[in-house]
Amino acid sequence: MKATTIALAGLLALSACSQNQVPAGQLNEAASLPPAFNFSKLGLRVLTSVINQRQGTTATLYGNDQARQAALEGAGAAQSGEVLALLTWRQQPDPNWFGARIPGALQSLELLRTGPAGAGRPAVTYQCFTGQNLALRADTLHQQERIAYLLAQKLAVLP
Amino acid sequence: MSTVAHPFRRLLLPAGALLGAAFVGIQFIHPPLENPPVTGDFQAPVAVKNIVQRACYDCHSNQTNLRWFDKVAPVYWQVSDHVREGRAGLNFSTWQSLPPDAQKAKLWEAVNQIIAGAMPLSEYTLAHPAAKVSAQDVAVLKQYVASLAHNPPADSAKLNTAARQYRHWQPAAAKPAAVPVAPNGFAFLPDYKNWQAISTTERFDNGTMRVVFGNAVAVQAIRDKHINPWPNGTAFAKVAWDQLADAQGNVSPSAFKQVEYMLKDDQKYAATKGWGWARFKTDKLVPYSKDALFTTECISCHQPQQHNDFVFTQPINH
Repeated sequence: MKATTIALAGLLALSACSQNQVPAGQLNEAASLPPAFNFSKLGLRVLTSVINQRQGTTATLYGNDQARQAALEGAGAAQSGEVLALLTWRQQPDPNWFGARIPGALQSLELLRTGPAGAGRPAVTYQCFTGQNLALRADTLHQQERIAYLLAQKLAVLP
Repeated sequence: MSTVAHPFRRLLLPAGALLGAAFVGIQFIHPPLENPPVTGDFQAPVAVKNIVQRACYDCHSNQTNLRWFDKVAPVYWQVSDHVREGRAGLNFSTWQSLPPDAQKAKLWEAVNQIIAGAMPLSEYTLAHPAAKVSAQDVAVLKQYVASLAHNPPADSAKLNTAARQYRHWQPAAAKPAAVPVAPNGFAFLPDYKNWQAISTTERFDNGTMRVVFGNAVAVQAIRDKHINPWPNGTAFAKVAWDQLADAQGNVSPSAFKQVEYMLKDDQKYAATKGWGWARFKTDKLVPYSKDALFTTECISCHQPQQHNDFVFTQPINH
């Protein structure tokens, strides 16, 4: 009898808990940026998006007004004060739509800034942050390649 | 005992008789449900066709096969409503009148409705267990639709469209004077491109790629993890482009296909699940459909996400 009472009380408590629970929604935690990085404070706008089917990655390119203007004027039109940011994720199947892939684990954030002109062309600084915590990568391998790639991106049409 | 039961029995008999008479009476309220001619039946490999016929045709074709218990009012009234709505949304008997892209889109959507458990309707399979779709059936359907998805290399017509759009679209170019308005009164929101991206999607089912933008209210809601339900004032804009692949396997946006909006206002849009819906097509931003009833398409596709406030996107906190 006592056991039944305890079991009943337990069941009641459980059902009370599940009723009070607020549905959490579906935040994509794995793909989210560490809040401390304050990415949105950069105040950048979406310029385009790139998928690499061989590597299974998806990326979004952001830029400030100068970067946007330079991209509109075409490759090689880099000017000072540009900020470009490329966020790259591993892809995962969309759990809500068979036929789609969405961002999975955050892979990297590449940040490019152009400074005042040196010898005719503006100086470029490039940083690469990797992993879920966006740790700054020390090595400079492939930097020139990545800078050229980022500066060559064309804007997506957003009417 | 019998002295207690007696008054009940006295009441029960006429009440039962009355109910019986009413039941017989309502059988005469029987709006006809015709089977119009089949003008262009759905074609697919036998294994696929068998599943679709068995699970979908009673409501999604002109070959509705009502069993005797479906024809008894009041069940009949609900059944005939379901069939009418079902045919309006998807009719396999007029399949050949749809353009190939629309056929594919309908099939992918149907398979996703089945995967999500939204279709076939549970009240239908309860009375018609043969219509249930097994895990094996789902695998057959998934394999079939996947076989329809192939991204053809960019043809010159597509490239020309993309190039023309890009030339035409320059911030300097004159903006259209009139703001396009969807048939439900939803006006195009040009500011979406200044909102934050909250996710992206590669759609290999239809060869598009998408960026989902959220306004300031949406971004704050994501930060606060207050996204089910989303607060009033939340707005999403989902932009779709054709995919353009280069030799290195990089896929970038080609022609702009459309922008679709969801705007939350549980009072104003109470009749459409608390959301205002809109779609503007091509870079000319042509409102989708001439009829405000287009929102029933939006809602039926988003129905499987009803427990996520009708939102498919799993937002990313930036």
